[in-house]
Amino acid sequence: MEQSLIIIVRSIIGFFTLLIFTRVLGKQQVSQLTYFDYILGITIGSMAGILTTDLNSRVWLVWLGIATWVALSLLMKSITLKSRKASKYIDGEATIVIMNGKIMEHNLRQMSFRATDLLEMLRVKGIFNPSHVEFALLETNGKLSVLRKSQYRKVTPNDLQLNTDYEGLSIELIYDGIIISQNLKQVNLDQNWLKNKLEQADIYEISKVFLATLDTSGTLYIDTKEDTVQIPIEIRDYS
Amino acid sequence: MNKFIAKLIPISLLILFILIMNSGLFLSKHLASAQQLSNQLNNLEKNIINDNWSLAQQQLAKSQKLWNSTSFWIHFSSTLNKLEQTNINLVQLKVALKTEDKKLALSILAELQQRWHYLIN
Repeated sequence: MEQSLIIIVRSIIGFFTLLIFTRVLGKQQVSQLTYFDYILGITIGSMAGILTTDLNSRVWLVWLGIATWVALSLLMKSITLKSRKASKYIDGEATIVIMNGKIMEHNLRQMSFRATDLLEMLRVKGIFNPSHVEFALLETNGKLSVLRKSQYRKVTPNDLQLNTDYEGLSIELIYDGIIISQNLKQVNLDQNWLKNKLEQADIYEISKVFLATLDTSGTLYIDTKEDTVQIPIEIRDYS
Repeated sequence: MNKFIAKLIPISLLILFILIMNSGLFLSKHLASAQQLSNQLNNLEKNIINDNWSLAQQQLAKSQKLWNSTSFWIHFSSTLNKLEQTNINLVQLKVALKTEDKKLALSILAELQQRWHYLIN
């Protein structure tokens, strides 16, 4: 019983410590992590595991270990943010692996990267012929950035000299039956306007709305909690 | 949420965790039972050296009680194997006192004292 209690308390400490420290470390996406960030995450995670369940380790010392790793990581981040040279030295830099349609074998070897890996990454990006590539760079996070040759790029409205309307972010006005007043204020609208709009859509109770968003063109999107759409296909593959 | 409160919550949580994790060290130094246990172990040593076996056995029983009431509080500043080893040492010492084996009793007691010193420091 005593040990169960200790494990519970240690778990609470480990859980919230990890939560707080990962928030402190930043909002980097998993896909943007460098190889070192990845290792750092695993190391800190495994230390948190030891902190929680290894009763033969002193909880304070393990916690101190985690805190030190996080502090060092923050120190490295602040150094790499301030100094470009340090950033290049610590995080490395992007390597050109294709230039003007030609694969740079020497650079590939230096990065311990196989040609088949490169071709696979190109295929994932929808490129089946390396000669269509002007530049391909292997980023520090291991991802491939590709610049296609201009004749193989998709046509954009800008290429056709077409004018397009501005499109910004939609804003949530109702979430799960509750009006988000601060968002309404932000777009200089009030609840009466919203109620009128809902009545126009035959909705007389706000609690029936699951989600309502307003886009930059002024169009209100409304999704009610009751779905009236007839499902043409059975989504579930079990019954 | 207010920015101040948003920062205050994690900082207070971390401080609370640090206090909990180090509570064992503080308690082991300030708990009456912990201080008595140190004295008991010293007295026990004197009685073994002077061959007062019955008195030593009584003191060991008291030490065992003191250890039971103290050990719960030092879980966070100690490790499970250290606590279990202490329990084993107390049992071994009991046998050594019963058989009046002075050498064995003193060596186990020395180990116990050293471990107790480690646990509270």
